[in-house]
Amino acid sequence: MVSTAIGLAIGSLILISSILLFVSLWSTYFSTYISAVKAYAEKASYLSKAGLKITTILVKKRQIVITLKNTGSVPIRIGSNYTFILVKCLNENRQVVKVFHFHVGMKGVAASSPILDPGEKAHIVVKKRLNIAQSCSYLEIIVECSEGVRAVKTVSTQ
Amino acid sequence: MRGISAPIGEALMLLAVITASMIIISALIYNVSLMGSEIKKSSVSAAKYIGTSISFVDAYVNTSTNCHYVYLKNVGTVPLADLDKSTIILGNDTITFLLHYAGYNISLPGPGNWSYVDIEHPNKIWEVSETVELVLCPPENITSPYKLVLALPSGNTFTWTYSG
Repeated sequence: MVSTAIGLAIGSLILISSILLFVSLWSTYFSTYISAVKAYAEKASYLSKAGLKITTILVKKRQIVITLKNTGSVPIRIGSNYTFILVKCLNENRQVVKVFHFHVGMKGVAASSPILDPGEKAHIVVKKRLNIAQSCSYLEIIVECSEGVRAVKTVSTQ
Repeated sequence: MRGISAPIGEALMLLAVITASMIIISALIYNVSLMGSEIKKSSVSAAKYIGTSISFVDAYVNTSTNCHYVYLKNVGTVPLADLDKSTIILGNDTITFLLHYAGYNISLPGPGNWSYVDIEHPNKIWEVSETVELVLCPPENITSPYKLVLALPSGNTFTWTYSG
């Protein structure tokens, strides 16, 4: 009788602890999964609200000044090291002749403000000697900020 | 004799119950730890899959070398450390080429090969928000529009079409 009671007690304990372990293991899985889905949804929501426009591009001999405007409803980080700038030098037929790429924070490349609030304007200055005057009729500039918000503009160098 | 055999029987039964429960518990602990590690691996893999997102910045073709320069940004939530194990297919509507990885940061990987460099922090880890430059050199000249397929080791596959 004693052994039956002990056996039943141990059996119930094993059953309860295995159910608890099973639940805790799967809750770990789902919490990791849910946090990943949440991060993805937050990013998608951010990108749907974000908007960036290159308003003007000033091309000088030794520098390019890109003016950006936040046309969305969320702030955009432009001062991050991961703000990527692609400068495509195009000929008269708009064919690519040369490509230069930079990022904010590298030598000679700086943003006037680290964060661009909605409606605000800021500049990215690229102080580089690019030798673009002779072969490039147009410059196509792509700015892609760290979160993936981008702006494109083409200007004539004439 | 009956008076003595009953407690001995009870004791033997008790011993048998404890032994059996110990066997069950040890088997259970082993299987739970095995299942736990598998679930952890699976959850990390699922989170990595969901958190992987790549944005196509731009691309151009150098007509003199026939190599394509493609700029991609990691806009996901996880860094990608194994880009070299990716599968890259480049082509157009009529022909496709499976390119072979030639090595890290090779400016001209040669026909049929590809290379990459992470631009902002060149350390072979494609960090979140970082841009990479892929250099893709198909074995033959192909015409635009180009179709690029990038399959990461995590199983995420991305397809982009560009004119260069």
